[in-house]
Amino acid sequence: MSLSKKAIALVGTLALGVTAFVMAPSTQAATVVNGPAPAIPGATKGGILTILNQYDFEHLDPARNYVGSALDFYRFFVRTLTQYRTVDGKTTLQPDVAADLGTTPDGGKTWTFKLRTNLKYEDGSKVTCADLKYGTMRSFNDEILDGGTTYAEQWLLNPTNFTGPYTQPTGDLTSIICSPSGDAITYKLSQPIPYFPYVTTFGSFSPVPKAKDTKLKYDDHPLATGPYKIQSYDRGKQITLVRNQYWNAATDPVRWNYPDKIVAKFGYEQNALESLLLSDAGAARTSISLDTNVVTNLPKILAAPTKYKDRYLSFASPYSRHLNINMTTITDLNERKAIQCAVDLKTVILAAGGSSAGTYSNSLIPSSISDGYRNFDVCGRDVHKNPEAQVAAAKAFLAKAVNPKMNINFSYRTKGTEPQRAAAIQQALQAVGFTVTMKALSSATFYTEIGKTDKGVVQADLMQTSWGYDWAASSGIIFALLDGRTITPTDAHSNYSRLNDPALQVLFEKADLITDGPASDKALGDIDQKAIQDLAAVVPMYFENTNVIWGSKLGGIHEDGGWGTISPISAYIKK
Amino acid sequence: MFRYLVRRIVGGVLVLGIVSAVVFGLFFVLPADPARLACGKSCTPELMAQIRHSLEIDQPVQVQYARFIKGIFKGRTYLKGTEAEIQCAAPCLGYSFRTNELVTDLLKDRAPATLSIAFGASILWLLIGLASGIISALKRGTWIDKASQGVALAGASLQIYFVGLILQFILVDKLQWLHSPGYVSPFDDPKEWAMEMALPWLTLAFLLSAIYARLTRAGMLEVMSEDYIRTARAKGLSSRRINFKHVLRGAITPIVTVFGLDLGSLLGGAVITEYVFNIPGLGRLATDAVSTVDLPVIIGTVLLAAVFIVVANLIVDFVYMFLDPKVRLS
Repeated sequence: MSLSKKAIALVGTLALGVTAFVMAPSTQAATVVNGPAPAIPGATKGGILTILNQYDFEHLDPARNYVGSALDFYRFFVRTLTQYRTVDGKTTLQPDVAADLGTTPDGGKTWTFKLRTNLKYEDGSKVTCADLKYGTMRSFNDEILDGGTTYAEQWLLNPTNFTGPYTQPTGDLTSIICSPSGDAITYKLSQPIPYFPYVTTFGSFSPVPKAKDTKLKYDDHPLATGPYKIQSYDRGKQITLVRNQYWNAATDPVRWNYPDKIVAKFGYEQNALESLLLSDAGAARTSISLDTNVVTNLPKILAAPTKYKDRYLSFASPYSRHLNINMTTITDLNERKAIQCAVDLKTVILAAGGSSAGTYSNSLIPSSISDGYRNFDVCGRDVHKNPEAQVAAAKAFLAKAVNPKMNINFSYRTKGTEPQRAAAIQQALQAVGFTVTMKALSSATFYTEIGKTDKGVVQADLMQTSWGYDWAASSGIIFALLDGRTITPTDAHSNYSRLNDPALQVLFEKADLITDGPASDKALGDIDQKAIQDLAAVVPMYFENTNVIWGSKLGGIHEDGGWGTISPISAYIKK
Repeated sequence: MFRYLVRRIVGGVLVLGIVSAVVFGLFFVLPADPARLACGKSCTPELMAQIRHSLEIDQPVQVQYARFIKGIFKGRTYLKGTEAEIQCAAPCLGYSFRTNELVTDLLKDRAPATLSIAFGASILWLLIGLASGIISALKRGTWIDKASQGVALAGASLQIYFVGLILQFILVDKLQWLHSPGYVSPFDDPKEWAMEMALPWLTLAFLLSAIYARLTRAGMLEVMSEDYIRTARAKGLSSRRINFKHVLRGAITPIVTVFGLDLGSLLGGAVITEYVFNIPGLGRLATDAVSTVDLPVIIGTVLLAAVFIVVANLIVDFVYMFLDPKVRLS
């Protein structure tokens, strides 16, 4: 992901997070790819990698995992059908338990992957196609194994209404078919999903042997297929990983195994953790935090770029912060454009914690997705150069609007800096003549409330939302946020703008059929631009910056373009 | 004595019953929805309803409370009729679907860290507070008294999150005299246990001994002006005997009360201490449970804290009886 010029000026000589996502052309999809992963220059084996987190990982059970840092961490011991790998700033999709990236003879409704047949679990038993199938089947019991993705349930054909092995022990998911020799697996989908190999990076597509499924307890100790296995896990306190003797680097193009041991400790306080890592004293020299964005000590780091350059990284994460304009309540295009012009992105970022908190955005697609992103103007200007409110333009649009709704209600979450950002937005809108009624909602209920489309429900006119893509492609963003087909009579799901434009829907239907990655990104990038520039459905604001510091004896730390997080997957201890 | 004990125990159980009912009720008044939090990013109304059923929170509050109380005496089964059934033997305080553990197991796991903080710090603050208060009282008006009271005032005014982080920066990060705070079982490595607990102990001792120093000083000065003390001096008793056997004993009653309350509440979960120093104790468990809306754990930690306070008060009453013969348990 490239940083904006402003961010580059800010960090000076510090390490810049520059990661691009390279889509695999569809012609390469059937090529078998083996390990090992390319060696990291200077890396040697040995030592203990320490991870110091504020919070424990929500879940380690692959079927229950949907949080970026956990999805990255559990790659140490969980292998999925496909997976991301970042080397030299380039992130690519790789086959993992699969031996190739899959082929589809029918535009994405049927996918077949060749499988590696020489993989073993930590106990020496073989990984089989049936295990892979069972791993997906158990994710159907998401009322028990909650918290994970529901893509398998959503898109796999389910003619027998299979509800999961815990509630239907003798049931079967007939849309997953193993070849007789177990060297290939076929998935039959209910609709064409050209980006299905991205979906299979999630844990519901990882192997779990039925006989060793400990149900809810699997969350404490998933059977390892990666280079490490769990030696001990004391929830909320510490997890220790040691080498998995049955992992073979030659079968794994995704992972490395430089440290002898990995210890993750939880419960640290933000400022104490920042001080500890900054001090680089004792065990902190081989430590990193996966859930601590440096805030308090950021000015200190930026003031001494040379001192910290080898152990600090700042990058624009894939977490987009934007405003959704409800197109069913603010129906006038000119009024929506006036709102786009009125929002002062500079004050929003300052409210978020200062100019290093984020990188201005004009699009819902981050610049790291190079085939989908384009730097189009919003309200007639390049927001990276002129992030300030365009007050005159806003008033001009309002003058053209027919009976504009000037009393608008604005919903936001009471979490982090969201109230402060909401206040900045309110002020900017009031400066052009709007009267803004603020509605603060708790984190636990926010998205449920703003998604309601039931008759009689008072809907928000403006909503401050965020989105982190589920996979590093435009398809992981645009379908969820802008596709009118996701709207139901009771729920807008993630299309909070309630965008359902007929011309745009035609483009969505065409995009459904594109199996080539770069072409798909481009088509969805067109939709993104139309939705924002022409229809003013969304006001993009910024992509959150992640600022991370780690100990001086750690090498191989990088930004993972797949999960959008800082990643220790290729970490090594310097001698 | 026996009847008094029975009355106090019955009263204690009633208090716990009321506490559990209030926590249950308050939980349902809050807007947070544990099913929504568990549901994750790709939540649908149907999935949320299924999760609510799995968590057994789709029942009326009185039914849920009745099941909870029944579980304490008879045990309970979760996810009955599925392959993922969970047995919870009596006394069952619930099952945390968040951490996949029985609440009683969680409490047993976290209690030692909190007990370590509470007992270690209480011994230190009592010793420091009493010593400081005694010296101040005996050296009243001198620079020693003034200095001691000044330090006590500082301790009473400052907050643990401030003092703790400063001390950690100095003693751990910079000087490296102490180890990073944490918890290791004293049975596994007593030296490491003490080294990791030292900073929380010292911080709490500095802050809490202030109150004891002032109480001790004030109490002793009051007792020292009593006629019977003057009589003791006139009879030729040594100063040491007068000060410790008569003056201190007369002043100690309010200190025992405060100590009982402080220790009881610290045992229930030194929330800020555990948070600042990253100690995985009951307080930390409680705050994590609140932020994740983990009701069974919230109720478990609150009930346990109530038990500690009830027991602490009971012990204080008994200690009074020994300290002051005029006090009768009736």
